[in-house]
Parts: sequence; structure tokens; C-alpha cells
Amino acid sequence: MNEFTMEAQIEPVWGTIRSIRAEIKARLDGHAEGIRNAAGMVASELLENAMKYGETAPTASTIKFEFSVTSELLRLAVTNGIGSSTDLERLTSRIAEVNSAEDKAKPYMRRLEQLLEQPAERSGLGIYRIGFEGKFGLKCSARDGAVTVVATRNTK
Amino acid sequence: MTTQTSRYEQDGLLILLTKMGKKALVTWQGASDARDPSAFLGPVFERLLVEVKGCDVTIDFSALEYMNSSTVSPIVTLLKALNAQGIHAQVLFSNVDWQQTHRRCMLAITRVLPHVKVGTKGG
Repeated sequence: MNEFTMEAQIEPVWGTIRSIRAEIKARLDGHAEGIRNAAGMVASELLENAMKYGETAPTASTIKFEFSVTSELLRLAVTNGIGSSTDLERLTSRIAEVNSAEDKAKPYMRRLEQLLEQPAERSGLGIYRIGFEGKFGLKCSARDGAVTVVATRNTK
Repeated sequence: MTTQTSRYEQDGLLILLTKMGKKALVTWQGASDARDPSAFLGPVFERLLVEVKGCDVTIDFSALEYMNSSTVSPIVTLLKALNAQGIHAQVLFSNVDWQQTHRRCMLAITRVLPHVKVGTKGG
């Protein structure tokens, strides 16, 4: 498989997400369909979060998108300005919930059951989906008013 | 027997309702990746609920190429509404990985919805 790195500064225009999803799937040509679909989904969910809840910051005037593939690792990272401390706390706590869950399906299913009981404007499923459906590990760091979410998965 | 078709389309997502007698088929095609899918799906589902009254409904996602996580919530709301109205609904997914994941999740949460069945197309 070819190793490559892709990096882009993205304006928060919704239609861009679809183009990036298509490009990622194209770049992963030769990989299993499950990996291609998962990577496209993860990129979409991370960029959707950045566009919905992010703000521009002096250190992140646009959304930074990174995508790299080596023989062993697939890595996606999205950096954007922090919208509010509440959104950042929600993001970090969901990532912590996914990382600490032995069964990654559980946080997703719990949220789905909540939605069945009480429909909500925010589905709040994206991060859980990345861990469960995508089988990606997640890390999050905040610095100088910007937050970076990194998602990684073994390519094997 | 006559066939009635309704077509709902927005930005790459096509939902087709085909009614024949007491059977209704709702097929999804393309991608559901709008910023707020419920803005489109909410009114479509309201109309669907009226149109499928008295029918057995099949909701077929197998030709759907992608849906974002924001699409899941309105779908759950639709299934709950169908069940509440006593409408028998069968929800079908394809064999593709991501669709099977959604099938398993929908199967688990719809255990409390006796009128809703979840399965794999052709399975």
C-alpha cells in the first residue's frame, strides 16, 4: 500500500465534508472496503463537529485537516478554534468515555437508547460512532484556544 | 392494483415511497449528510406517517451510501412513531460493514418497539 500524508486548511463550508470523504475513500483505494468507509465516516464526523461547534481562533482561523497512512497506521486529525468551554468539556468527556469503555458499543448504544426515550436536537453520537463503528482510538488536546482531535486505527 | 409513488429529494439524498395496496416500501438512496438532517427528514416523515397509515411498511436502507450520525436521531423518532401508531415496519440494511453495524444497533434498541422488525435485505 502507498504511504501518504494529506494536509489541508478548510473553510467551514459544509459541502467540503462530502468532498473530503470522497477523496479519502479514493486515496485508500486498495484497502478493505470497511477501512475506506470507516475512514470516510471518521473524517466526516470530526469535520462536522469542528464546523458545528468550533469557532475561529487566532491560532486556528480555519479548520486544519490532516490525514496520513503508513503500512501500519491510519491517522486523521482535525484542529479548530474552541467554540465554548462547555463544548470542549462535552467533547473531552465523550472521548474519555469511549477510551475507558471496554466494549466500545456500550457508550453508543446508551446514547441511542437515550435518543429513543428522549429525542434531542443534538444526536451526540459522532464521537461514540468513531470509537464503535469506526474502531478508531481517539485523543484530544487543547492549546491556545484551539482543540485537536486525533483518530487512529491500525490498517491491518 | 395501482401503485402510488412519492419522491422526496434533497442534496444527494432520495427517499422514495411506493405504495401498492396495503404495502408501502420506503427506499433510501444516496447520502444523508446535511448539517441538520431533521430539517428535511422531519417534514418528510410527517407526510410518510400519514401516507402509510393502514399499511405494512418496509424501510430499505440497503442502497444508502452514507449517513451521518445526525441522521440517526430522526430515524429513531420515525420508528418510534410508526410503532406508536401500530404500523408494522420492517427495516432493512445491506451486508456492508457500516450498514450491519447500524442493523445491530437498531435491532437492539427496537426490542421495545413490538411493531418494528429489523433485518438484512435478502437475509
